[in-house]
Amino acid sequence: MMVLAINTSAVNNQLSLAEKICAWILGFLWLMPLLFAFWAAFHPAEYTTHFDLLAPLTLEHFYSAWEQAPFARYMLNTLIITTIILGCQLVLCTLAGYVLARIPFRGQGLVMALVMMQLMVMPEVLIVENYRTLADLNMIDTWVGVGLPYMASAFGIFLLRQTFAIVPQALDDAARVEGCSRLQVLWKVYVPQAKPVYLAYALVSISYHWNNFLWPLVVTNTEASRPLTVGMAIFGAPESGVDWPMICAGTLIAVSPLLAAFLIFQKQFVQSFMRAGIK
Amino acid sequence: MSRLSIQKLRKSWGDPPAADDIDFTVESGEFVALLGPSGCGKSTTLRMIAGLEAPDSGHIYLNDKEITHLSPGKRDLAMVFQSYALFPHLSVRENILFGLQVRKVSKEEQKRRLNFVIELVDLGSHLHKKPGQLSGGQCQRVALARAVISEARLCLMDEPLSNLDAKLRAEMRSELRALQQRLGMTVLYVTHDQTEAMSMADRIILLNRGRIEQIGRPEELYNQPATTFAAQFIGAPPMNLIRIENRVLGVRPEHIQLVQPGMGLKSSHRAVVKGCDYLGADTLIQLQLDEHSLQLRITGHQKLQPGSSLEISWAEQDQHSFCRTSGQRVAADALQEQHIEYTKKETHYAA
Ligand SMILES: Nc1ncnc2c1ncn2[C@@H]1O[C@H](COP(=O)(O)OP(=O)(O)O)[C@@H](O)[C@H]1O
Ligand SMILES: [Mg+2]
Repeated sequence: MMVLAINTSAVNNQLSLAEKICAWILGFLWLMPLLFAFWAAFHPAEYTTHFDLLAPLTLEHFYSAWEQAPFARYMLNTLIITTIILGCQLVLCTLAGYVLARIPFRGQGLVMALVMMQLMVMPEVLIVENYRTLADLNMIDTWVGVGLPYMASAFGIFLLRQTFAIVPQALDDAARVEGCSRLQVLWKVYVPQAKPVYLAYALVSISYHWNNFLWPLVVTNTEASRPLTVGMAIFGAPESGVDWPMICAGTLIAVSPLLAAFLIFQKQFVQSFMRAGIK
Repeated sequence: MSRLSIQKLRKSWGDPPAADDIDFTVESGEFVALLGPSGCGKSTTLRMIAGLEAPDSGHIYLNDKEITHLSPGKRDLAMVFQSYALFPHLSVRENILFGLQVRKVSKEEQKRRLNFVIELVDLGSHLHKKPGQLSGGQCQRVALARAVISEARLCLMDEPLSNLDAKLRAEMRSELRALQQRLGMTVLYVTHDQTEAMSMADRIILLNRGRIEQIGRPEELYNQPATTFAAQFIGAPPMNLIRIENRVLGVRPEHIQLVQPGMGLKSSHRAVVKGCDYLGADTLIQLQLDEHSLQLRITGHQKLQPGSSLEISWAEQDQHSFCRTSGQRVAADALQEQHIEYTKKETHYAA
């Protein structure tokens, strides 16, 4: 960690003034929509497009948003779907990554090539086929149904394979001589050493699936499994006339858990990303 | 009560096989070194015994029980690796106790053994550090402690000292040997360093290109090398080999003596100095004897001009003889009949 701190400060010193200004501008541009959402959500409707520092603050949009849509239920759905996906991804990718990294078998190269190919396929391309499969499995409008296409994540398998492959073979050997079974070796030797990678991967996965829209829109029909993003879209549907402040308030409700988690764990996340080599 | 017996063990990834026709035993309480140049199949042999590599054929017995196909954890043996193989995320204490925890040994027993081992390898003050905070020597002790604490029947070591610097290596060598003697451990020790094998082992198994070249006590390997390979591998600097007709004569550099010129000794030879290497306690002299290059070791600091000539001789019992084609040692009595000895070229011309 010391080394890391030194490295980052060294990088900071090397940035020229122009680069710093660019970074600030980019950061500001990225932040604009969020700032607007905050502005609109906390002020009366007449100030939405009329910036005035002295505008009165209000929470009315939050009340009306909360009332108009079953946010609590949507939030629960999103939470459960994200958890199911992440949990299954961690288990599947760990097992697959270990086998591809350390246990030679026939056709290993082919399997690896297929995984790499899946990395290049946009999941949206497969929506129709996936829907058909899930309909056959009777899983339309269920939590598992929303998560199933993402569980065997090619990115996760590849990432963990690369991480496990650089764990020294001698550690694996030593653990086996000390009496570990293959699964115990995986759990006691490989997984602990890949901790930063797991953290970084979990962050990417959570933020992707928390915000995922198209597939859940297709595969969910009712409140039983509908996640926040889809709920928000229905809630902001233009038939009822667009109520921007309320949509902003709803959006803030939706992203707040993620935002809070990121702000709290910011330092760990950044360090973990740097160590995992994902940027 | 632990005896390792290896029969006709073979492993091949291509031609030539990494290990072939490996046959040996390690008796209880014995320290046996598996010696050979790098790439000769020492680690392969050791890993097959540990169960980390499956042999193509052959059998491995530990205490008369066949373990050839058991998984590594069920063989009741411990292993020390060249890279130490300490788990970086665990503390020294957790590293040492790793095996006992996996095997679900009771807490009291773990504590008792840990105290004993810590004392033995002198690690008391480092128990809560991570391996990354330790020096090479300390890592080595942790690895050793992890092997000792398992109380396994057999301890395998794969070049455990080769990552240490020369001074520490010499210290650890005697410490390791003392530990083995004190605990009565049965050890199979892989090394490419002949001094290490000579100074530590009860017996040495000399490997070359996946095959056993010679098995014997260190003095047997030194005094009666079975092949020209053994003759050159054991001893530093290596034995001088002189090819004459269908024989190879061998004389160790430390067995060649200087003779006062003009003494007229029948068995003395005149050689020309090519160069000197001063080593401190003694001097290594390169000589040219007719068309053969020889090395000679004499005590003290000797300054000899290249080109000057020397009278040298060696005792008959210090002379070894090998078959030129097979490289095998020719027995002493067979030698006497033929009376092989080094003769100068002039006699050939005269004949
Ligand atoms: N996993 C492996 N796959 C292919 N060849 C191997 C493997 N392990 C060892 N070898 C080969 O077997 C030979 C002996 O290797 P090794 O036993 O490691 O030698 P040593 O330990 O004596 O230096 C070498 O030629 C090496 O290239
Ligand atoms: Mg080796």
